[in-house]
Amino acid sequence: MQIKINSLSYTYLAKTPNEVEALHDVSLEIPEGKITSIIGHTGSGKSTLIQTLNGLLLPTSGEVHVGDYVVTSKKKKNKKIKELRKSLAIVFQFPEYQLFEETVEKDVAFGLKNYGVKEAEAIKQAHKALEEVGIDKSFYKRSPFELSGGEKRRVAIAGIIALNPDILVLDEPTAGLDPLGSKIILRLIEKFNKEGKTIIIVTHDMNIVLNYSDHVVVMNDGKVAFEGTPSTLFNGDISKYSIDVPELFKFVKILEVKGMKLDLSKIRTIDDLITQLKEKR
Amino acid sequence: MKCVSIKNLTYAYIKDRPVIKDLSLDIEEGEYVSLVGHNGCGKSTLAKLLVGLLFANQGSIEICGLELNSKNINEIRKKVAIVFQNPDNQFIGATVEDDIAFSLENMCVPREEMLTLVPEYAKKVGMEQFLTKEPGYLSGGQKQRVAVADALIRNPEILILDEATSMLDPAGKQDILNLVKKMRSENPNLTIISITHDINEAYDSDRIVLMHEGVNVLSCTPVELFEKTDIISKYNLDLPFVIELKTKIKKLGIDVKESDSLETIGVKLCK
Repeated sequence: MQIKINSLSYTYLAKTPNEVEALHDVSLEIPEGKITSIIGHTGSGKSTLIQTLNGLLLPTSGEVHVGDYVVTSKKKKNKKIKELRKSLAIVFQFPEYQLFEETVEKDVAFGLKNYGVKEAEAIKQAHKALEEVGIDKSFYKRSPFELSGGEKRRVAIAGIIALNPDILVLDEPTAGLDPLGSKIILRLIEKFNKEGKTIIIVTHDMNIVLNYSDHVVVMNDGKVAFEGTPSTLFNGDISKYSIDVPELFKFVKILEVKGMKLDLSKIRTIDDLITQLKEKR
Repeated sequence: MKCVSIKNLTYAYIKDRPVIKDLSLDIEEGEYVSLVGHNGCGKSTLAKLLVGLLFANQGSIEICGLELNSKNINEIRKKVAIVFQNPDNQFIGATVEDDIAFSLENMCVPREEMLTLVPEYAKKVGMEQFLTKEPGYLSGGQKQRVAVADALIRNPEILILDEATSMLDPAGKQDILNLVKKMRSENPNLTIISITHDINEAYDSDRIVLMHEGVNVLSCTPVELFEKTDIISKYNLDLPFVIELKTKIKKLGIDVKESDSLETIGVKLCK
């Protein structure tokens, strides 16, 4: 499913003295079947943007097209929004705080039951989703609150995956996890992408952008400041967006200044760089 | 001088399933210690024990020479400030200035002093423009900056950061880390205990304490830790970029030294 955003603006508390324009005339296309990262400093409009994608926030003006669905400022026109939310599902920051059920399997089945799936079938599909995220069977009947942070997050993601969305949006999916927990989540996201899901990740972690993303969108002051591939982004001047250049690219730039020719589009990890260095020697 | 002295500490949320097991650790005054280890290894539990939010089942904690018990708890809480991971769980005031003033009110600081202290600390964390804003209008990173101001304004002897920067954007994170550095240079006696998964952040500390299943398995300087490749892989730790790069470039047969900057490595590679 393709996402197309036309002249989208969003103002919090519109027509009050406290109004804040979080998005200003954003037009954007998010490629289907790819991993897109949305970055930008705190308060740049990233979270507002993703919440308009499935109508959790309705645009102040402009519209969002997701496949055949349209999200507009007019409430009455957004009739199929419940279906849209199943196709484009959002995993929020710290989704483990939303776990509430008595057991892991019931928690994962909750969303499905909201879509009218019968209890037994919902539990069956929940088991499938839990298997997908690598949660062991021995956890199914246990309280989600007994799990570690990384496990809880995978259970929360399973609750979304159980809905089988075409587009999966994740807000800071690795925040607060240890390095191993982060890797497990990122591998999982890669797997979902290989299975055909379009992935959108909101992140501050430039290594996720460099190592995992096909496409990157930079938000700045509620506007789109950049759209393109990670290597184009990090090779350009990004100091004005208060984004960190990954250390790897800082080093690659030092090499370039010294006259070394490297194929930047193929450098995502230290190992990629080492491979190119070997070829030169 | 010992600032924190932990002896044979054991704590269990559920009986017979201790998350801190017979842990002993000393921290010197003015030391900057990073606690690293997997989620669930007991780091945050230890932080809560240090501020008396939890009480140990066995063992003892001494803070600045005072034993942590129900009698001394108020005295100890004046010396220790903590910033938690989730900014939403620690915003108390109705506005930013109220929130920063809250602990001063508890300490009976005169109003005139508050009127200068609150804007001063708001400025330190870059929130001076937001003094009259309510938490609902702030982003997560902005709330966390307020939380850091709340902690610092009490002028604590020990500052505990429980993944305090994990939700901030790179610029916000750097602001906080710079601020912590500045606090340390202004007050070399300030002891910092930082719980973090960010290995580049831990790299800056005096000492890294690695925890695993409720025990501290290793305590050494960052440089010593990163040389122990067996430990790094056993406990799934990340390596700081510079260390990983140097190791891999050495394998190409290039002589790279510990002290080499990225620039120097570049020169050696381009020869």
